[in-house]
Amino acid sequence: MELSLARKSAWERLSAGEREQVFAFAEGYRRFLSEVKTEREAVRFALERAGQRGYVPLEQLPPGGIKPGTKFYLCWRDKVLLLGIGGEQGVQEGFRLIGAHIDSPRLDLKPRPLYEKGGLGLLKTHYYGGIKKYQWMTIPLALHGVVMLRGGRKIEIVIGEGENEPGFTITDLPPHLAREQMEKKVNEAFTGEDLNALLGHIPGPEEKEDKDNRVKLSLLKLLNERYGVVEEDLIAAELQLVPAGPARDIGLDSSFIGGYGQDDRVCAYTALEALLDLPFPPPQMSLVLLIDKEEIGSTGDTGAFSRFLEYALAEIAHRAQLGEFLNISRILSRSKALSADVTGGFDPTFENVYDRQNALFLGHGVVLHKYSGRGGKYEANDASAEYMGWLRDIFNNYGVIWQSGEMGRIEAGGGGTIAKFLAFYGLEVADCGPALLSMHSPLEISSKVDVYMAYKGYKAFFQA
Amino acid sequence: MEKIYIEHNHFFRREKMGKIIEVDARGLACPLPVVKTKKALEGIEEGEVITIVDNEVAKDNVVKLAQSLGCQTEVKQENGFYRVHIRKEGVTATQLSVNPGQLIFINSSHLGRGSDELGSILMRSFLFSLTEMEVKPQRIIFMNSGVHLCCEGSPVLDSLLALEEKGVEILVCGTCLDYFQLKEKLCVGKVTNMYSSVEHLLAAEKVITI
Repeated sequence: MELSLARKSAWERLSAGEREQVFAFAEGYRRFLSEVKTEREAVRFALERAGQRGYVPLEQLPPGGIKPGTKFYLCWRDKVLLLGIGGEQGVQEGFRLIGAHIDSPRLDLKPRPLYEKGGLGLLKTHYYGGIKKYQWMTIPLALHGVVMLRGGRKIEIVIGEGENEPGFTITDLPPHLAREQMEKKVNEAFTGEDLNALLGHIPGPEEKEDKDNRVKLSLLKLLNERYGVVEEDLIAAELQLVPAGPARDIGLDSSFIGGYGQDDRVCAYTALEALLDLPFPPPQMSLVLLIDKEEIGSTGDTGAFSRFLEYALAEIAHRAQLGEFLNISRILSRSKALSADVTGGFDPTFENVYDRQNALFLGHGVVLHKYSGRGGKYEANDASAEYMGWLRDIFNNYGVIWQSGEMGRIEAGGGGTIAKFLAFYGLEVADCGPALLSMHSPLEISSKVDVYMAYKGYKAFFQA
Repeated sequence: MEKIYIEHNHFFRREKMGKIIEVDARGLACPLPVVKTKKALEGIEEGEVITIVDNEVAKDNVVKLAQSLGCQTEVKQENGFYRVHIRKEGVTATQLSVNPGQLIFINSSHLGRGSDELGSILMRSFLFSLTEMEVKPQRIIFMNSGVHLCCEGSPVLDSLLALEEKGVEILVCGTCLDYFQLKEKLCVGKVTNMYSSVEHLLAAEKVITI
């Protein structure tokens, strides 16, 4: 019997042949990260993958249509997706849910973004989620999103991902002129209003009116020619500036993946793949919830702090002929969930923000968190000992390499997940996902072995 | 994982926002902003104190006080004033965490009275000797013309930097720096206020005044 809990790299604990699986899985994940940079793109990707595996829209299923192994999905406003597979037991016995969010910190365009100053055409942005603003300057950015044209036509835009496509960037002062800037505190030196992206600078033809806006007008003309967009359409739009270009391997031994949006699309991808790869109908109905708006507090109609899950369950219960409200509450109270989200891994360069004893290490397996939150566990869902014990046994029995601890020192800061919103419905919930370095930066870092263990852990959660 | 902000104020968070007290400390001299903020914090179990000050030194001192009491802070600049938001949650330390130890109190740029030139040589020699001592003081507080020693052009910067590196806390009076217009030229040590200086002086095992 092992009395003490040793720390050992997961790379050294993999079973025979598993290392190859780790690297093979990472290939698919890296391609996904390179392709998918917004919540809408994540939903589209998941729908395509699920469609190939025989998942059908929930609304197409008749009452009583969910049987063991029935695969279905419910898409909500193009930004939320619930995927499910019927279990051996009926849904009245509860379900297992893995919830991951598919929004990431980024720079949204303001409603009136376009302006001209100093002969340059610029875009004003409004940051979304918790970012360190300076990290988003002087890097190549791409524009992703949708615009509603007058009359209800929707166009989708991706500019700046292709090798030969133009991109965007936010400028910063040269060090030569930055004496005052460099003396300020970081959060005062860079404000939200400083994040303005370069859009162009060729002036249009000279006109009598609006002669100070010749660049802006020529850019509007370009937008109109290429996309049919007029300035007012930008108000009815979701346009996001995100780091441009593909994700890549990091490290001489290619053991890390570096890319934008791993918080939390690493969990979205691994949960999706775990569900799609289930070989047999699971014991209970298995659900994967890909949700929006976590980074801004889970608010809004597509966030976890909405009644979408309740609505979705009513639709499911209807197809299991259990549509009374009492039954839905009962189902929720009998259900179990993983809030699949990333956490911060130990960074030796900044070791004083961690409690070394409880720190989480890259390459030591997927993290199982009893709670997150800040200070005195505020904002946390504190999972029960019973539930943690149940999960721990599953992971151990299925050969999932996992670790537990806390993100950082108690007073160093904190973070939240969708766990508390799932718990609100009465589900048992714990947080589970890989630890990242440089979380919320344009280049987040994950360990391939942790990504694989998240996949393996999520699959075990459904299968056990 | 979402970064949690104090401003978040939805359904789940509203109940524990607690009291909000505003302390208008504009125009007040050091250490009154710190004293008033501390009293306000002591008066509530949980909630927020917003201290408004009109200068950077006072702002830094209030932030330092709040942090030493284990509170979270956020500073917003508004029309030339600073609003320091201090969030107190549950039990915090009831007083500044002051470690006793030997304290050297330097209130002049020269050592002793008589000749300034000699005084300057003696101060250099004194601080250099201090760097060579086995047992070092816990902290050194600089006041009045003593603050010159911590600023650009001081002949003793090397010794002070060496002491700081060895763990000696160097505290420099903010009001004095303002008076001599040296705030921008401070090279070593942390800016402090009269309130915490007095606390340190009273808590010290031994005070050596130079």
